[in-house]
Amino acid sequence: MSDDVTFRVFRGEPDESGKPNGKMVDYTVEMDEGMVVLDVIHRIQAEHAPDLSCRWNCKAGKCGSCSAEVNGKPRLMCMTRMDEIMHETPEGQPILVKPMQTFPLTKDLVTDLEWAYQINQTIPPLSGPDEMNWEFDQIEADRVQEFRSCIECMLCVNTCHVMREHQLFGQFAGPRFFVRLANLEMHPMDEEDRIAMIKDDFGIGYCNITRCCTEVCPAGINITDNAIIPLKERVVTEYYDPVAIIAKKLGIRK
Amino acid sequence: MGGNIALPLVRGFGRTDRIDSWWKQPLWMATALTAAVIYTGLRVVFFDGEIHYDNHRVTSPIFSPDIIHMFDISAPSWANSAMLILWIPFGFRGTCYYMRRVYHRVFFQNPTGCVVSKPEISYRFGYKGETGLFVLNNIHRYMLYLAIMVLIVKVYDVWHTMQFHEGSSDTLGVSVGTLVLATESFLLTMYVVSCHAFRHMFGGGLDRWTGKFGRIIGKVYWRVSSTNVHHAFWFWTSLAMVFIGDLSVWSVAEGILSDPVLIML
Repeated sequence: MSDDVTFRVFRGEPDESGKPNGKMVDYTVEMDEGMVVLDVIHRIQAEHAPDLSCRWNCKAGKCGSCSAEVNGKPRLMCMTRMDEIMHETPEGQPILVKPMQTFPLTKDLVTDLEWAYQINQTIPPLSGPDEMNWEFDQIEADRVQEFRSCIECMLCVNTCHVMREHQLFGQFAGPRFFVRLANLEMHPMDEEDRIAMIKDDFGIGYCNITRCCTEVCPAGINITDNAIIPLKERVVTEYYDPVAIIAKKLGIRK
Repeated sequence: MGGNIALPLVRGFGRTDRIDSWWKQPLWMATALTAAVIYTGLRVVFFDGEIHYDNHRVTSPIFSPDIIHMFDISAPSWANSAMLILWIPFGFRGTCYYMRRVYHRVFFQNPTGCVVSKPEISYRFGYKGETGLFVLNNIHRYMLYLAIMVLIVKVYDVWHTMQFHEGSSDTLGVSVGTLVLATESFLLTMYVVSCHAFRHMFGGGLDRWTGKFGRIIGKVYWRVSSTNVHHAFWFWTSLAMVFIGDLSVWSVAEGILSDPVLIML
């Protein structure tokens, strides 16, 4: 048995000034059991709007391509089950699907993530001993392993109010890149010191710990508690803790 | 880094595409915190008469450590110990990473909810996050050190409730008041050891946990991390227990409730 479902999808492109310019269009399609939001979008493409743009790849929550805002919540379309969406949507109300609104619009549900590629290149990569016989304990590896499950879907950046509401893309690295920085800084073999960059160039002080990034992470990374706050604590040690600063000057700590 | 990005499509205080009841959580948190502040203010300033019973055997958590009594300090009649020591728990909780999330959301609407737009004033004055005035939150680890000292006194308070003096004889026992203060001390202990700064102190600031001592530190780090996941739970339960403890002490001191002795050794 199948029901019809109505999606209200953003259709449009940026205008000459780069601002999103488009409209919400209703599409009604048949919904089968077990469908996810991305399946419905594909059915809309197949039956009503072959020119509807959406980015997707793995359909398994691993590539991070199909990020969008469904009923106002940032989520991966391929991992959002329709039965959950139908449960949360009031009877007779269409399901709202919009692109990630923090990033510049390319077309319809596709956004331009060029900023993410640019900032990624500014982060000093892992720098360990020249000898490649790196050995460390599992207990040390476990901490950074969590960060490696990031799929770079950018839902966290899209949700972060520092980016979404204030567009501090020039001053603030955003949750995704604090996850990468935490991965590098806490790596047991890494010898690079990025704390000054984390404070000044990547602007960790702009984060006010509202945890929205953690709430939307489809990989389940505890971004705020395990990446951002530990980095903030390291910044405190270097710049705001008088005892730690004196200890460093006296050579008691590195 | 790249240039500015086009503005979000939906903007204005409380405007969002979300259809769930996102406002419920900030509303109850704002109500709870406001009630806590008002209750504390009234209790400390106007109703500080009944803060202990059984000749100081059980003291209200709000007024503990009761340093005026402990050190026999000569203070004006309107002064009480809470006025001297409350800045420590307030400072510790006020700079707590979890508390920052709460007050930035519920009192500064920065933002009130995720993917919910902010009031116009937030844009007019610009956003500084914790680079402006809130940089003061970085004293949190020092507040932690002070909170640990207070916690030691709280544990002593529990021991003190077990010491019964009848005439010239001293006996050990357990009353309901002991259990109330023990619960409060336990919840506060969990709140303190699940603190992010505490985790940083015990291994979080290190990249390597090698050697015998390092491995122990690593294990402590993971144990603290397992409590850190529930930091919010310990925050709220320990806060609630302070007030439950105070109400309990006040009720017994006023004669409304009794404090039955459960065990007498």
